[in-house]
Amino acid sequence: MTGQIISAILTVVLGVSGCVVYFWGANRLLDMIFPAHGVSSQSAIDNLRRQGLIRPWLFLGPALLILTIYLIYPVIETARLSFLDRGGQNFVGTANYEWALGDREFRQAIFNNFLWLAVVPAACTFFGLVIAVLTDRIWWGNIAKMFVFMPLAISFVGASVIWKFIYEYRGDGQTQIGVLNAIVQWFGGEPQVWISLPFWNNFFLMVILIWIQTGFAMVILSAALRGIPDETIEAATIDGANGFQIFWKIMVPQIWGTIAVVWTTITILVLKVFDIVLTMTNGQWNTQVLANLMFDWMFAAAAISAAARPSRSSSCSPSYRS
Amino acid sequence: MAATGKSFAQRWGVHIAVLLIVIVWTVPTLGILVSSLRDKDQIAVSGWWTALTTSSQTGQGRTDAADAQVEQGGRFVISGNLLEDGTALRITAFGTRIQEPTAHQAGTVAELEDGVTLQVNEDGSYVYSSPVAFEGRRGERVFFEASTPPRFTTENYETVLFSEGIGRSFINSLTVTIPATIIPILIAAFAAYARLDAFSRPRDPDRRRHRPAGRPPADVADTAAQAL
Repeated sequence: MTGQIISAILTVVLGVSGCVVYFWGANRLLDMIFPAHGVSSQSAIDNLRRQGLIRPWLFLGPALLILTIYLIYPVIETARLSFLDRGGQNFVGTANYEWALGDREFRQAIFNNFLWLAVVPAACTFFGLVIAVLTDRIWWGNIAKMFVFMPLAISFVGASVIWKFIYEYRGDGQTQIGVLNAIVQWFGGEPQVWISLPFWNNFFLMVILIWIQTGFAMVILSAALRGIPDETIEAATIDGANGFQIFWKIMVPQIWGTIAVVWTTITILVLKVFDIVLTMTNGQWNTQVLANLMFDWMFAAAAISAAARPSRSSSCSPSYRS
Repeated sequence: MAATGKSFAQRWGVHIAVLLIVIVWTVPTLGILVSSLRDKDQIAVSGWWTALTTSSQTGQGRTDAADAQVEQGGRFVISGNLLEDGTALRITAFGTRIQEPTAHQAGTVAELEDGVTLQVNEDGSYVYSSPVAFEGRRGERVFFEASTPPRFTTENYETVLFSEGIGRSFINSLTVTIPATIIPILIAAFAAYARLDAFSRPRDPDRRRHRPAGRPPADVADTAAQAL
């Protein structure tokens, strides 16, 4: 244990200080090679120009290097490999694309991803905006915002565990331990297996992400709302605008840029949605999304067998046969 | 906020709406918090919102067999306990027939046929007594209704905190989190400065000072003069 702690501290210190040393050292070295002090004023001018030409690249270097290795190269290589066969040897044209588009699970995943994209960013931004506006008007608004913000600090896997206590299903007539089914039963309804309910189960998974991300939208939009000049709202009030008109015609246009940023940020997050689907359903019952499908094919399939991919995809999700 | 001339909805509407939102957003987390403090068997059989109430369940047990009997004052007595050691269950009623599992109150002496008596107490202890010696290899079946008082425990936390590999996980998390926070900020800050330094064109005269050595030599001379 002590050994682990020491090696962990060493890793952190070496990594961070290595980074600091690079920037500081490179900057220092440049100053030493092209000195601007203690030389004739003509060569100082020349050296300063040379410094100015080199320094940006020294500072941009690590960022460019990392982006090239970890982003640009993989994108190009993936595109290249997509036209080759399994061994990466022979050119097969668009056969891989045709196969993927013909795969039922792949199309399901694409469809679900679009569903997530349509619902989650819109819902998060909407709820975030509504909560930001409402909490701005009451004295305990900050306390309320704290509670809405809290889920943002919970990991996706943790959130899924939390929501299992909401969606948990027990047979009809049994004591329900899931909140949702308990409420349904209390109103005399029949308990449902929420996460395998066809089509709607996608929305029950989305609720989890909306629950997490609304706090983010709320905080950013709340800050933007506070930046709106009071005069504009006062002028609108004097002109006789009602609450809805003030909100839609005075406030929203002024924070439109922030709304776009929030929307885009959450859209990017939704494109990467993975953990929630993996932990709640693992893509079963037609809830598959692209990230989880990739994980299935790349890692889980390799673990199950080296068999051909299409045969595995049907054996892993028997519900598709129905 | 002037209170005059406002209806109930105008005055309290926002408060109620926000309160509802807060409740909806907090209930899931509250659920896991309450569950984390509950007995792990209770989590599986009752909702976390019932954690403070006593839940009841039915069960059955069997008295010890005839070979456990002792003779006391002319009667043959078998005594023992129907419940497991350390259980939180409390028996409220018992019976010897499955049709009437709650025929007798816990703590009372039930008169069975032929002078046989059975007393089952709350804690599960029983006294089974008969004027004649018991026979048979199996004891008498006893049905009961038991209540589980609310039980809160830190056992779940102990299980997790002292489980195998948790320490390593914590250390690994920190090892990843700390550099992954500091290094990107460093790299991005220097990259942003480089962009400001070399690639941006001055938008107003004041901005010129931030780009000492771009292409036009005119302001290079200025900066060089400053540097000297």
